[in-house]
Amino acid sequence: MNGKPVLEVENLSVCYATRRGLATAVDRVSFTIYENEVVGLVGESGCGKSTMANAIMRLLGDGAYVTGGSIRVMGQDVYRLKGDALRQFRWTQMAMVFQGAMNVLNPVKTVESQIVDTLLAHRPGMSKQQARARAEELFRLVRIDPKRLQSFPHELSGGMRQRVVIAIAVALEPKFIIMDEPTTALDVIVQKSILEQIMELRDRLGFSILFISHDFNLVQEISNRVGVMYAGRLVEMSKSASDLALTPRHPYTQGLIRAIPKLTSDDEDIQGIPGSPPSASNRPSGCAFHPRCPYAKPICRTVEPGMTTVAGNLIECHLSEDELRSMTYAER
Amino acid sequence: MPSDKPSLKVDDLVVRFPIRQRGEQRYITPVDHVSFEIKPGEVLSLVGESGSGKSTLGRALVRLIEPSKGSICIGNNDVTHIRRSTELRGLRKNIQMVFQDPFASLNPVRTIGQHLKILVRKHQGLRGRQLEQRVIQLLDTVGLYPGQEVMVKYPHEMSGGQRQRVAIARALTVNPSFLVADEPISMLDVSIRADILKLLKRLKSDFDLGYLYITHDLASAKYFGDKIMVMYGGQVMETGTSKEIVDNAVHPYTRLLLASTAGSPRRERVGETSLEAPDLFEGRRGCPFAHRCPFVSDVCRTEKPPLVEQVHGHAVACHHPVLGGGNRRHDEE
Amino acid sequence: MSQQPVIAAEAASDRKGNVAPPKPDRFQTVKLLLREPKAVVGFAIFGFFLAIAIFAPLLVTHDPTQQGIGMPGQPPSKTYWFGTNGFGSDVYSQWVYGTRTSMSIALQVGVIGTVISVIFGIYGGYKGGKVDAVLNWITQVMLVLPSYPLIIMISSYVPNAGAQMIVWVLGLTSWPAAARMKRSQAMTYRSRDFVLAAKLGGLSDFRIMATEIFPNMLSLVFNTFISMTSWGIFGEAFLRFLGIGSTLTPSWGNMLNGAQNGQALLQGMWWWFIPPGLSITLVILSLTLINYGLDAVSNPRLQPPPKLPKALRSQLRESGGQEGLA
Repeated sequence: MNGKPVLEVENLSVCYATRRGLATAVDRVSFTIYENEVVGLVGESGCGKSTMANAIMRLLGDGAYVTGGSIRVMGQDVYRLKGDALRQFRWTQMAMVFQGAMNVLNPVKTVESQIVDTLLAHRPGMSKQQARARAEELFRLVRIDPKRLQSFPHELSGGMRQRVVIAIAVALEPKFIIMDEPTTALDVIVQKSILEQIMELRDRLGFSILFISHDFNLVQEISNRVGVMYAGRLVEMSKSASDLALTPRHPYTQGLIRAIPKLTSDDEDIQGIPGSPPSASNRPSGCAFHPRCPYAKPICRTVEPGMTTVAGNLIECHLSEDELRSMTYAER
Repeated sequence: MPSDKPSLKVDDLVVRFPIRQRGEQRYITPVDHVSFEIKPGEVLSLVGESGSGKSTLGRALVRLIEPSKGSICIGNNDVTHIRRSTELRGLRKNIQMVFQDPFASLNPVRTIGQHLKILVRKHQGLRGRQLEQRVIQLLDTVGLYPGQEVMVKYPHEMSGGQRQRVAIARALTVNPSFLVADEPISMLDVSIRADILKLLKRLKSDFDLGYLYITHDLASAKYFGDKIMVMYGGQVMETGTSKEIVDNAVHPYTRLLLASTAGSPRRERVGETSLEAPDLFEGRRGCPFAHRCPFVSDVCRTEKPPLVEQVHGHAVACHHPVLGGGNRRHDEE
Repeated sequence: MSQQPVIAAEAASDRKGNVAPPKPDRFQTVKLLLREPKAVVGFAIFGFFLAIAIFAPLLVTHDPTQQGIGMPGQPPSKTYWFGTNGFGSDVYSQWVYGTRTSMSIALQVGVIGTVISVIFGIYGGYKGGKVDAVLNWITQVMLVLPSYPLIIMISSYVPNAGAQMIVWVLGLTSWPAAARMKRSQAMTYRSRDFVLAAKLGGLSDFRIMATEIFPNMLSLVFNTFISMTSWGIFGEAFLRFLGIGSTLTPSWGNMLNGAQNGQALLQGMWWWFIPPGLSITLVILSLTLINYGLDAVSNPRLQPPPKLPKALRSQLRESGGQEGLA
């Protein structure tokens, strides 16, 4: 699988300024995404996954700061880009699909003019005619009737709007796209259909995806590898998304899997994780998950665990491989 | 299990709203001739997408909305059109509601204790220490303790799961026989959803509570529900026991839903599907699902399919049910 | 039942382990307000005038209503701190009692205007339907009636209008805009889940308005009270300046009226009109400052994010900054 790295995140930390000082939203996270890869990123609200996406896109709002580490996209350190170079880089090299399509699309412009504007802003040589033709082509690509190009965003259904946003994201053929909960607001059938669409586009155009979601099952289905974030840390990065049943996992991941009722299993035992995720300004000491972890040992309370490789998966936990393994099997 | 509690019967219920469109008054029917029954201690999962009318139906049951036709009966008591506040209060002692968003369903400026006390005082007439005891007991029932500490908290000091527990405790203050739970877990973090579902399940057996569990997620519908009713465009598409619906769905819409649910081993291509919302206008013809259905034929566009019982308790409204498909788990292998 | 003790589990996640039960902070808004510099300055100025109004009888040096106490038109001196006016009254004593009259009228106007706007706004907005239609119609009519001519007309029909008359006239014309604002806010609360839940709990409409909706609108209510009080100060001065109402009671408006009639400006008697004029300006300024402070506290989102210490900032890499996407 490993080809050229598309996204390299190294030791990235992002903090928010609050009245009481700095709150760490993303805490020393490292991972790499290679060509043509889909990497899923799972976590609950407030775990830092969206903050990280914004940091990669250089879209952090006021009061959020990158406090350490580096982000390279296609080998280029994005925090060394300035002004126009950054604007050019964004969208031609990396793009992002946000959750709320309505917030991204301008309500008073037709979707065609929005696509055309994006194209013209990044392709100086392109004529308006060519841009229009390209917009039509993009619409066919995401399977919307090109007649709809003249519509305003509110005239389209939620599913169609999201497709328009995807069309804009792929318009300049970036090599890397971040999708931040792209289908969360949609109904399940539309969601499935759009996911199929995304995978098809990827096969045709060849780009890598960082797919962010809180839905473990969904991420599992479409990703080559799955990362799990908890309290700002990347606590697990699997080697592959399949053979879920046999691989040892982080206790938190285990908990997430057990917390979801399954359509197929007749055994009805689901189990929540006690407590709730900690806030960014009040992280527990040691392993941040220890207060909610059923397997916590004394060491977990005081010492931060390091990343270890367990059967090819990267897991940040004090438990030994055997312990993780036995606990995984106990659940099956 | 025999019970002396009444059951909730909904017969041929229609809810219609006027809407103005381009200066013209038209009506939409988000609930269109829906019938079902919930016995005490039974959970009916109502599954549907946005625009299916599931929330409207839930609100009609607690009479936040007045139905236009049909009837809602609790036991022999017809509550469809009651208007007087005393009667409405009587109804709402029998049937209560838990809302979707725990951040919106609690008053931000009142403490948890205040939320519950005002209702306990009103309905049980308790005062002073007894009142406090009862509130603590209610909080304990939903797994929030120590009650003394919880009572003085404001909603913003609690997590989503804890707030939802408070909302459930509030619904329990009147000792209802039925709860309408409108997507009670969809706004919560994944790791705490399970505990809320388990809490609802425990209350069901502890208090012999009947539920209308409204959800868009078939997996949780199956986990919690004894029966599942699938709605689309305001009409019932398919209804049956949970196992039957998940294993032997015959309606094309249910099957599409199953195929689209993440984690389903029967994930298959959904492919092209219309992205338009269903037409809810009054006077529409045919099956509401026709515009998306892969098996659509002319009759689907003109004639509304009746809800017909296939096997015991399993009813389908479709001109072309996918019969003999059986357990769809097998046909892939 | 293996339900996890939820609160206990969360307390355990606290680093310190044992946590004392948190005390609810009912006065948090007030505390925050007292930390807001604008509000503090506002409260200080307003408090100064309020103190003068309350302790007026102890502060005067002469009888404020008596004319010819000293020579007319004397500049400030040791005997007459603010000098004497064209009729030989002591300006300082007049100003002290004028403060009392003006402040009391203003506060009463504030109360009346706030109460009416709350009743019309919340009741209409929450109830909807016919009740709302009627209340809203009245509000709209009051809103479009030009209030100054109306006030002048009413006041001039009532001969010898005293302070009480002015209070009612100003109070009854002050509320429509505020009521409309409350109505629109109450309307958004009407369909909120927590209001629906209270309804399902069997609470009466009055209880819902009083315990669910009103407390959520407190900052708006306070805001209204402040604007109405401000309006009372200004309105009183305006009416008296035009010579409406009894001119015998000392008040800021009457002092200005007297100064105008006595041609204080022409004769260079600045001590006659400066004290009341400056007072009116200062009180209205103080109320505006309090309102700004309140706004800052009740809408923390409008505030810029907290600044980091300089030392820390220099270590950080630049924040991304929200640049356009296109």
